[in-house]
Amino acid sequence: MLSDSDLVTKWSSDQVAETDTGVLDAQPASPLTEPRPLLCVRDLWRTYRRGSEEIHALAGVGLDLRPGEIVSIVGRSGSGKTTMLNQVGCLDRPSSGSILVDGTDVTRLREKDLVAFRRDHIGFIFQLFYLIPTLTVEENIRLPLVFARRQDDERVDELIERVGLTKERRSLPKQLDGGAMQRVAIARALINRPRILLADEPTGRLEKKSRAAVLDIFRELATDGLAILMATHDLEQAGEADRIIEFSDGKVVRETQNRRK
Amino acid sequence: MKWFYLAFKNLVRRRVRTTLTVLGVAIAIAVLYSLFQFQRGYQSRLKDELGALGAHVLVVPKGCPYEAATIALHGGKWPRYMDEGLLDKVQQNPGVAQAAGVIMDAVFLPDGRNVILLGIDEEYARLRPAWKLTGQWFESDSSVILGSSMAGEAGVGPGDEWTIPGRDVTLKVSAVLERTKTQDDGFVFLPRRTLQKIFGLEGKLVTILIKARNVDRTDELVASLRADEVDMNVFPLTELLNTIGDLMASTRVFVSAVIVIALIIGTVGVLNTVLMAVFERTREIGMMKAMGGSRSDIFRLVWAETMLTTLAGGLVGVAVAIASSRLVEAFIRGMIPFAPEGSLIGFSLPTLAACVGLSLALGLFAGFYPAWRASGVRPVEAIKAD
Repeated sequence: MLSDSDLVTKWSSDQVAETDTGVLDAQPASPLTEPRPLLCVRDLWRTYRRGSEEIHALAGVGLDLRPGEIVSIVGRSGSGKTTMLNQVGCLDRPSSGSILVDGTDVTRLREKDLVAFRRDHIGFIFQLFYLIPTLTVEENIRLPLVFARRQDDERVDELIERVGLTKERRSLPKQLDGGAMQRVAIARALINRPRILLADEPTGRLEKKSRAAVLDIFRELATDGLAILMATHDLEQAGEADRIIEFSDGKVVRETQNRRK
Repeated sequence: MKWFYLAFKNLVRRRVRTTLTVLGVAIAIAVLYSLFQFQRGYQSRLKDELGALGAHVLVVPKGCPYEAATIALHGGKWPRYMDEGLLDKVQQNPGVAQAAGVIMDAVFLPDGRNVILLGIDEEYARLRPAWKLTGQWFESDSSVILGSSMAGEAGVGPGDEWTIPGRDVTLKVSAVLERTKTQDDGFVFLPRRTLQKIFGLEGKLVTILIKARNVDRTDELVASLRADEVDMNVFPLTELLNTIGDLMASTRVFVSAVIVIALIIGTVGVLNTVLMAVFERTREIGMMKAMGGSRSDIFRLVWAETMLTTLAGGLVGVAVAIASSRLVEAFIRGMIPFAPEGSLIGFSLPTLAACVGLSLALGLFAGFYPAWRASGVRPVEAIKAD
């Protein structure tokens, strides 16, 4: 894996065409060419205090994400990638700015409503999978349904088949390799039929073959209309996105459209 | 998939820790069940034994009333006697419906056991309307009636001869007392005069059992008997019950202290274990919240885990208490001066329900803080921890 400093240079020269530089002020999509964004982030700030010092983890970020679009966020450690996912995923509250998910400004939601909104609209994938070791593949996938007080056996079957774990549905996580575990995590993230999938370093712990399998699944999901926003250090993975957004010091410093799309 | 299934699966992940926590609670609940049930069993059996005496008032020689009660209830050899003439005086009291004089002695066998012999007359039998004899009442001065256990041990029946161990006296078994489930089953009954003669106790009595003419006026009868004669202890059986009950009540304070300490230790143990588990699973809890788990969902899950732990502890504790009841009972009996016959620690649904209820309450209490801490975990922790 390349160092943070090599990151942007390599993908921008090898795989993508740079379309913008500097801080992005996201513009509305053309109604004739692109679907309406599912996610609209405007002038987002997240400021922490460390003693008398103010740290701007996000400083006026803007971003759009449309249905069926895969967007990679890249940048050095501490550049604000994960903070951005936390805000978009309603896991943390921004200091200011707005986040519109499917037309709802989630920054204005109360905690209780935020839980329900997160559950119904957003799926999460983490680098460490966080599967419950004593639950089977199927039970891990069902977990969010317990919180949603829903029973959806068809959806469980469909997702298990989709991520290729039919034979392993009764297996425990310890019986799976990293790639299979991440596929379980993907199915779990999708069980409540979210419209946005957030992935933080989703292939960071996987070998090449498993990384490719996860990316294949992402492409399939995007084809079905799911919007995917992922933070990654993986250049290969970043290059598979429709757009690549580079973060630095809490700001978007470059947005690049992928030529291969 | 339900909450308790999820909670159970989480507990299974930490088998050793969960097992130790369950054992901690189980020990506390086992102690609670055993002591509580012993107290209940003691009171109940004591009432039964006193009821089996068929009398309302007991007269014994001057001395320690507890010792006298023990002798009266369980039999034995006691070097204090009353003059037989007192029986006539007692019988003349207008408040007395029936009075039976009893002389008692015991012979000790080489193996440490003893044979308790009671010298009685027909008045005694009248106080025991539930008695059923296989055979006849004393046919002569050399007749003997054996309690069912005694007859079984000796292997004799009506018409057989029976020799008082250690004494060269052979008597004819006129009857065997059918099983009464009281101390009478282990006694040997002789005509009073015969026993007095064999043991050289002519004109002496160990106790007089009195049935009051009017039970509601027992206190008056007792007062009048006490006024009549100073060389005897007169007390109603209700008083005896209360006296022994008071004696037990003093031990109840100790028992309660033990129970409270055991429960506090159990609660702190459970709280500590669950809290540790919550700290270890901060990321996982964050993930659950990211997946749509609300504060109340996480609170409920951790609380369910705690209650499952304590419930398991409660059930195991009760099972252990019942399984080891004989051992525990023997231990407690060895530590107190007087205990009724029969099993004192047995299965009791109300006690079981109380213990299980308490273990659940312990879980509710011990689980509250860890559940509250867990519910407060910020979901952002899940990603941050990556």
